[in-house]
Amino acid sequence: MCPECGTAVQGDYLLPALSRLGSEDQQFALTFILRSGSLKEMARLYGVSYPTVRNRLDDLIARLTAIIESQETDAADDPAKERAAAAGAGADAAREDAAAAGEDADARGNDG
Amino acid sequence: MPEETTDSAAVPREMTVAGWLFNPFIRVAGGQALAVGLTVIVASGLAAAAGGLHFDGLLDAHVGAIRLRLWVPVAEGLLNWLVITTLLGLASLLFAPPTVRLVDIAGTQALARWPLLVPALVCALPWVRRAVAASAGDGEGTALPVWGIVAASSMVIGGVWMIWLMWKAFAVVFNMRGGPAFAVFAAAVVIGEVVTKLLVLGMLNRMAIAATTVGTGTLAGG
Repeated sequence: MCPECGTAVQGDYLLPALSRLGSEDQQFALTFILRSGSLKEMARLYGVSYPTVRNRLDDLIARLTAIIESQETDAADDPAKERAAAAGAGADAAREDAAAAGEDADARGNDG
Repeated sequence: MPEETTDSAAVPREMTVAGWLFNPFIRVAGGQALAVGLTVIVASGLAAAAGGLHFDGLLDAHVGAIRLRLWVPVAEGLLNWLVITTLLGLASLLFAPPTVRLVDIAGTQALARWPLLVPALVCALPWVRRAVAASAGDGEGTALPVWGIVAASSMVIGGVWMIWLMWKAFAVVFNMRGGPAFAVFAAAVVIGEVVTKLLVLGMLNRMAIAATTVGTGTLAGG
C-alpha cells in the first residue's frame, strides 16, 4: 500500500522489468530513448563525460538483466507467473532489446 | 522536447573544487581531455627543462644541476604518456567492455599527468636551482636547504597526485572496481615504469653518443 495515497494493488503477476527499476533508472532510460540513444547527447545533457554516462548505461543494463533473469527464475517456479510473463513483453525480447540498446548507443557515440 | 531534469544523473550537477582536482574525469574525457592533457605535458616539459627536471620514467621525476635541452623533458613526458596509453589500450582489449574508447584512455591519462606541472614549476625557481646546484657541489653553497626540501616535497606530492589521477582515469574509463581493477592498473603501471625507464635511458644514451660523435657538447646543451 502506498503510504501517501493509500492505494493498494494486489495480484499474482509479474511487473514489467522496466517498472521494477528505481525511479532514477527509469528516468535515465526515458531520457536515453528521448535522445535517440545517443550517449554523446546524454553526456552533454547531464554535463558529464562520455565514459561516465556510458558506465551509467552499463550499470543500468546489468540491473535490468538481473531483474529479467530473476523473473525467469520466478516464472519457472510458478506456472501462473510463467503465463503472465509470456503474456507480457517477453523476457528474452526485453533482454535482447537492452543489449541492442547498448550497442546502438556505442555506435551513435562513436559516430558523432 | 521538454527540458529533462538531471535527477537521474549519477553525479551532481555542480562539481566541487575537490572533484575537479581529484577526479575530473567524471566531467572531462575524450578529445577535450586529450587536448588539455597534451598541452599540459608539453608545458610541464618546458618548465622542467628550465628547472633541470627529468621525467625519466612513468612515475619518475628527478632533478639535477644540469640544464636540459628544451625538448628532452617534453619528449620524456610524451613517451611516458604514450607507453601507459598503449599498455592500457591493450589491457582494455582483455579486461574491459568493448565499449571502451581509445580516445578516452589517451585523453584521461594525458590529463592525469598535469600534477607534474607543480614540481616542474617549483624546480624552475631560482632559489631551488641554487639549492640543487649547491647539493651537486657546483653552486656557491649559500642556498638554504629548505629549498631542496621544497623541491623534493613538490616531486612527492606531484607524483602521488598524478598516480591518484591515473587510477581514477582508469576506473572511470574501464568501469572496473575492486581488486581486479587494482590488479590490472597496478600491472600496467609496473610494466609501464620498466618500459619507460628503458626507453628514456635508450633515448638519453643515443643523445650522448650523437653529441660525442658530432662534438657539439653534452646532454646539457644550452
